[in-house]
Amino acid sequence: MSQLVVVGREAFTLRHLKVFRREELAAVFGELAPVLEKKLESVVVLLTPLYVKAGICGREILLSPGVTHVRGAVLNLQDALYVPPFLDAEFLEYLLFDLPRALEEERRAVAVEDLDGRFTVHVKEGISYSLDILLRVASVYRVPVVVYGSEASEEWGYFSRRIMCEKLEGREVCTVDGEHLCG
Amino acid sequence: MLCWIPVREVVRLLAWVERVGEREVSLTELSRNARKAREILELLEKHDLVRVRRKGKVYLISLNERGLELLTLLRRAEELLRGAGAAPAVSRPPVQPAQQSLPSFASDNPWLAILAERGKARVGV
Repeated sequence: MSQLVVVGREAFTLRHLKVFRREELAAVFGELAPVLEKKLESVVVLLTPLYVKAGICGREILLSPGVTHVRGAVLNLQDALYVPPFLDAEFLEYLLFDLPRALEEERRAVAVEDLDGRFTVHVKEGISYSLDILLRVASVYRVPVVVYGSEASEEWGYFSRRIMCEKLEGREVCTVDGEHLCG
Repeated sequence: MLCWIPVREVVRLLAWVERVGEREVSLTELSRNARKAREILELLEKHDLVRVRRKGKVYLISLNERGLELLTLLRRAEELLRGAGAAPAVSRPPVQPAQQSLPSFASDNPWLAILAERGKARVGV
């Protein structure tokens, strides 16, 4: 367990605070931010990467830490942590404040369903920001994050892997990073 | 003194700068092959792109200012390429100093302020 820091009404592990960008620390913690930043400078998170097997079209693939985009298919993920169906600010708040806490208890693969439908306003900005937070979570906790989405989220440039399935001439064809997988 | 760097070396350097990113990585994360990891580190050090510190037996590598500048240029190039063929480039106003460490998507992103407000109310600082 990473060292706990109590700030205001909440306790954070130093590992959790590593997920925050400097600007987020300043905006949320105000004048305490420089103190936290100083504390975080000497913190090194050394976790073994978590690899998870996922099933798709009868095949099995190995997911490594990072953010994977899935379009047109549902992976068979055992024991994944599914992000609750929150929308807008509540969704972002969960990703930055609650998801790392859940991973502190047990590191697991994370799954986010219908990312493109999680924002009712400022959709494009919301998607980029949530993916940025998820990338930081995946990087700090070294877990795979699976994001289900469509065209809007697919544009983002930092996915570690892209899985796409579509119906072609009546059969389902799936590709991983553009390489044919099945169908 | 200016020196000529082969294109292949530039491409390798850019790939490793992108891989390190804004994180602090250990040698093993660069490559599980110790010899290759050393070789990468030497290449990055030769061009003064990284800083290295030791924590116990672990060497930790992060980009220095030059490295971060290169990373920013690389991301800008990526954005330009992604936007190729779309709308013509419009000159942007200079970025405020406070926003410089934020990635491009974050400037003028309303969700940052909204989340900050919620975070402040939640933490109560």
